[in-house]
Amino acid sequence: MPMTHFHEDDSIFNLLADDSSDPQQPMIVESSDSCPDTLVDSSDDFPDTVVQSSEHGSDEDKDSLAIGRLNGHFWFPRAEPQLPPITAHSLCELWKDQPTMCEEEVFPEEESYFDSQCTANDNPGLPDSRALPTLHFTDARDMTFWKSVWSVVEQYTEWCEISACLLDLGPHWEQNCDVVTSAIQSIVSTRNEFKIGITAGFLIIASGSVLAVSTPGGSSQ
Amino acid sequence: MTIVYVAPFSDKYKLHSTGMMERDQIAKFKLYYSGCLNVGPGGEGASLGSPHFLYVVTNWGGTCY
Repeated sequence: MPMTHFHEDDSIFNLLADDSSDPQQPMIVESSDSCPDTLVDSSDDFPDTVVQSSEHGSDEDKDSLAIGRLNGHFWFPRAEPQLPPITAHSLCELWKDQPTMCEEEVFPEEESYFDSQCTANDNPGLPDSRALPTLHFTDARDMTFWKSVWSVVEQYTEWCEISACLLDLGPHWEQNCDVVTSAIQSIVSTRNEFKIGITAGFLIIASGSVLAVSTPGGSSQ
Repeated sequence: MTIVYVAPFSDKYKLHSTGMMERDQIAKFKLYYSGCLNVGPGGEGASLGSPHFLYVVTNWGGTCY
């Protein structure tokens, strides 16, 4: 099944500029009908084939957040664009009348929009063996820019779980995850009924009950 | 408490961050290990600091290690 069922003309991911000959302009891609065998790409694997969207390309589009899709991946522009006017208001305009579409078409009938062709190994951070498309930074020179994107996109997770896609999993990262998983497994395997909490922190000197991690959120004191 | 990962940053949206690693591991262990007490997906309130650490807290012997 297709990775998603966004309307090609309506998704924010397809608000794309049409001048790909200019390397400073956002690249344009459209989604394919199937999920690739693997969602793990190296950083050099920016798609060679870029499909232009013939239905977009106005000056207004060029100023919009340009995110393309290819084989289930969401791609950000190859070159860092100028900071677009990404505000909650502007995204609301983009998504106007779209929530219904998400409910009815992204989640048609009893099907999930998660592609069953993908495996948990394709995106190990996701539960239930669900594999989501992976977002790729094609230029991470200015994290401030991207953070501004994330902060807005994250507001729309209840619609399409976009933020769940915000994983950039390269081979090295995947290997690191496996190593850490093995480490944790070795800990829990030493005792039955072991209770654990996984958290991150700056200070390694910490105190507190393990119950602290049972509060909502992954982080704890 | 056992440190299992060290990264130069914590931002959950940044590759090789403790925030992203935390989310990855919580997703796995919440699904397959009933003893994992995490509730949220992780990375919600990642603190600043570098290096940043991912650690596992346990109740082994009734004491947090």
